[in-house]
Amino acid sequence: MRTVTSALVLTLTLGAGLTACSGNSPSAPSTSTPTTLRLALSADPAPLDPDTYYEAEGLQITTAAYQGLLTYKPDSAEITGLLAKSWKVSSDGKTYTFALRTDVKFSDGTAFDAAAMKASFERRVALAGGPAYTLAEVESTDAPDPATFVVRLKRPVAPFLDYLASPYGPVAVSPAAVKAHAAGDDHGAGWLGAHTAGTGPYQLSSVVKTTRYVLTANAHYWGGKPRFAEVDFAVVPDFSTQSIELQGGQLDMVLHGLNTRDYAAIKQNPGFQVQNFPTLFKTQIWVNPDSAVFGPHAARQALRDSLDTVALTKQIYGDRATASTEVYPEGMLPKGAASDMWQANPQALAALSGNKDKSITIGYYGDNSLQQLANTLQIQMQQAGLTATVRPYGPAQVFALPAEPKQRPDILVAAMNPDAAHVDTWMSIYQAAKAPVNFLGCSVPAADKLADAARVTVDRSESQELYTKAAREYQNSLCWINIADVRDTIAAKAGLTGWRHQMPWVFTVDLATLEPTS
Amino acid sequence: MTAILTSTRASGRLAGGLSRLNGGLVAVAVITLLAVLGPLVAPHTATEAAGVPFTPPGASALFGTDDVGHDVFSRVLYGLRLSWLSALAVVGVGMLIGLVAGVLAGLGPRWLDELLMRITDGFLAMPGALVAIAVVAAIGPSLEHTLIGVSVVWWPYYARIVRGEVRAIRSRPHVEAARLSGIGRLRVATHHVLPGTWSSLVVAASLDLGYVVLTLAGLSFLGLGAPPPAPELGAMATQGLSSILTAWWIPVFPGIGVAVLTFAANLSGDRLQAQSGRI
Amino acid sequence: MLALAGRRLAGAVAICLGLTVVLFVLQHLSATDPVRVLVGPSASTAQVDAVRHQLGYDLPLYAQWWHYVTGAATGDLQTSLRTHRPVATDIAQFLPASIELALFSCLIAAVLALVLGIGTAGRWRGAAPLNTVLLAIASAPAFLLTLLGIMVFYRNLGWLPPTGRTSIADPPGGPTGLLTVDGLLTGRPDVTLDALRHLVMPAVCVALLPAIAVGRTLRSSLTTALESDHIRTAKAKGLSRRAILLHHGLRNSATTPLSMAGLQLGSVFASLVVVETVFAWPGLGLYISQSIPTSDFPAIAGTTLLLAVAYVAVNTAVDITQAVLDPRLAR
Repeated sequence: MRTVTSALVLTLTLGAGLTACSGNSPSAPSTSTPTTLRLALSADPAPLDPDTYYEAEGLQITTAAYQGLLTYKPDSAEITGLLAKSWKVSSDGKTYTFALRTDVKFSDGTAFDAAAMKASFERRVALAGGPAYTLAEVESTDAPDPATFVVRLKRPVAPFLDYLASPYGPVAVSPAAVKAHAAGDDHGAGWLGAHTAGTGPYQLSSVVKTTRYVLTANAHYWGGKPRFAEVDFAVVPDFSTQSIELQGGQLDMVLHGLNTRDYAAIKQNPGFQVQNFPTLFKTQIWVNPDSAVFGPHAARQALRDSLDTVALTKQIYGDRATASTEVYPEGMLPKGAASDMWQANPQALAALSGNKDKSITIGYYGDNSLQQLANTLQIQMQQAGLTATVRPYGPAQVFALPAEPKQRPDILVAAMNPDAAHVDTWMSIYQAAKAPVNFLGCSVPAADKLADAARVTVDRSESQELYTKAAREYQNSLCWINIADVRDTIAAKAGLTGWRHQMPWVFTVDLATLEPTS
Repeated sequence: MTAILTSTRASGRLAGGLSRLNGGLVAVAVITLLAVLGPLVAPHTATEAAGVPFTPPGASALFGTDDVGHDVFSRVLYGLRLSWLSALAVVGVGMLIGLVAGVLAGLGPRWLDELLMRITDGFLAMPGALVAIAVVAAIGPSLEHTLIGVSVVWWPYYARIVRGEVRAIRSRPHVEAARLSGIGRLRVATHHVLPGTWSSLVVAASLDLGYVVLTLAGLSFLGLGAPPPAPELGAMATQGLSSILTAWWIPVFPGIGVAVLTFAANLSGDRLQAQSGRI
Repeated sequence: MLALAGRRLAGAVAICLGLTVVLFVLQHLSATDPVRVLVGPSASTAQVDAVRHQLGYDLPLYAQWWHYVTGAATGDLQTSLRTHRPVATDIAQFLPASIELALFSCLIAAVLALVLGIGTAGRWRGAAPLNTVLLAIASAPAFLLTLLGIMVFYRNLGWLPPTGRTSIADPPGGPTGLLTVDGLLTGRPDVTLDALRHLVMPAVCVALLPAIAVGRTLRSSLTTALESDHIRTAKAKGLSRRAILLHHGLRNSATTPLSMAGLQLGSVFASLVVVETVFAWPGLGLYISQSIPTSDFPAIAGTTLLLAVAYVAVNTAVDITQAVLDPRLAR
């Protein structure tokens, strides 16, 4: 018994110590040279070749080193030129003509021109990596003169311009670098896994796998010279450790992954700031149509009605998200075209307590906020008389779900984002019956047909109308229940200014415009 | 391994061995009793929402509440029971399989001994966490599956101990005599060899209990173990770990629960070992 | 002794073969899709199937296994699905950091074990409290200890760096790969000092569990040894307590703790995974903890095989050392 007592004493002392120290944690960020920005990666990114790289962690590096023809305006779904000054689309929607900038050089010093863009498109198709889908419908490319680049499609592709502006879209890769470092028929992929050769403000200057990635300013950059000469990424897998390092002055910025209360505490500290940027992230509940409990449409209706999105969003995310009001993220469909709100009725779930089968599994895929949401749903279901357990899914498990029906939970809590700000990039990745990551296998044939038609419709408003109809069909299936529009939350030391952010670029900021103030 | 806990003077019959091990065994029994009875004083059940989420420790909730409003104190009490009984189950199954395999290896023909020992080598050389991960991934996560996964890699340790004991005892005069006098192999095994292995087995098991508690908690760190909302101490501590900077009580109290169980098991193991050493 | 080593080598090969079978069966049973993770969510099913075929993941299991084993025999551990580099290259890069951490952990564990073993077997004043304190610390789960360590020693006290192996921008790249040693060899003591500061916390966290296990074993064999006849003789001859303990007791009771130490290697590896993840220590533990979520089978299998070989090697070395210390065991 004495051990228990001493353990209690130890606990209380420890607890007192922890509370005391969280109040007055060191508030003065270190005074390291303001020309270096220190960031963390929570996982070692896949090889950073832009034509095969296809994940979120490390996007900060590829987007700083490479540029495509188009991009989005900051925090907007509106497309604007980047390496292309302007563009024209033929009336049949199959020929795209781009007028290119002529003042652009790659980080290896060679000039960028239409031939380089053509070679980059061909490289992407030849490597056939994950992001190659963006060029799947390209029939041919042409470079009639150094400042003109022409793309011909096999058939119209409604989201094609968005593909070109996507962070995973085709970018300019120096043909000289590819040629110099090609090994066998790898198109330089081995070398480009740990080096960069793009037109962006930075280039990768040093890589120690699983330890450290260093970006240095690209001396040949055509835009304004970035204020930070060097950006240093340390791989720190544990988010609590990242937070401690930020507050201890070891890091200048944490890109994502802390929980809502951590951000609130950091915000309270005058030495730090917390920035929220709009993204295309949606926190959703995926419903398994083969679930014994939620299979019937009425049961899904009851589940949806029981959810108070405003209260849940506030509880889980605080000011890091707003309750979802539309079927798709902002800018994908005309505002109000597919509105998605309902009167919350906490009693609705009780209708299911008469079910014979009452045990359900709530899966979640993602960070601690999703874990908390899953736990909260578990309590609500339990209060309604159901027996619910929570199960975490890792990437390898969740991506196996389309092929492993037996492993599917009854509902899956996840925060998904599309590759670009076009509604097609959501529907055709997550929702169509043949979509590659339709996790729980929900099939809505009527909607699939409408979306397929919209995809090849040249007239933009006509296409949007078809997509909107498809949206309603998907919405009515109640296989996906929207909870919140989640922002990109970045914690940083005070004094950093010049924040700029792109909606489809998750866990990133524009490094080129970031400034230290002394 | 063979000689580790083999106090060479340990011999005699089951009852005799047990009476000498009383002190430590009583300690294990007391921990078990406390763990089983603990939930009786819990103010709430382990899975009900008892208050506002993230309430710090105080009068309304002794150990505070977690991210969805569970009472951490109640969950720790339930968790002590679950974690302790799980550890007992793993050790029990490990002892049982290890006993059979060890006796077979120790008394059987040389080829069987060689075979069994190489198999145990194989298991001991395999990173247990990996095997448990794969087993659980294959048959789905649940407490039972994790316990199966751990038991699969746990028994070789006991098999080694038993085999060493058996070999030592086999060459003793009284066993030799029994064998020469024509008593059957099985009877020699059950009446003359088994009782002798008992005390080192019990000592090894008690020393092992704390380690099992820690291992199960560590597996929860990798997302294995009882799925929430089950009050498993390791799962609670690791799930709460992301809150450690702003709500330290959520991971720290369950973590201390693990430490208390391990510590208690270690102390009783120590006692047992000391007593058996003085036999 | 050669025969013993030879027998063990044959055993190691058998163990590794068995391990690969187990790993393949488990991988086959587990519901994960590494190829989909590799290619990416938006890739078409046809594209994923093409990569699956290219990697040979569509072959029957026994064919995949045979392919793997024949490759491994020639040192080809296949290519990691996550890093796109040969697993052998990855392992060669991450191994030195883990070896350095493991060596220092063993050093700390050995010191702690000796303190625990001798301190408590000798029945000196303060032995019991020492035992209790060590036991209490070793009872805390590693994942909690690591984070609390960072909070106390980095955030609150500022004594130790939180993560990584070094804060020096251009650490020497060789010759051993162990920064503490390389710093001395290349005449840069600051590197060694800095590496040591980074080593302390992770190494202590790894060392605690094995220290207790070995310390206890040492105590029990010491106690037995001290009561044996020749020690009584030594006492009767009037030798000092300390001389008896060190010269007679320790030498005669070293064999069992040694074999316990060999067996503890498994728990050291297990701790490395947790500790390296929290301390961002770029070793094999971190490598495998990054590989598990994406089900990077070649990486997991390669690392597991390496650990198995290390385990067998260390335990063989222990057996041989024991045989030297106590020729009766050689048989």
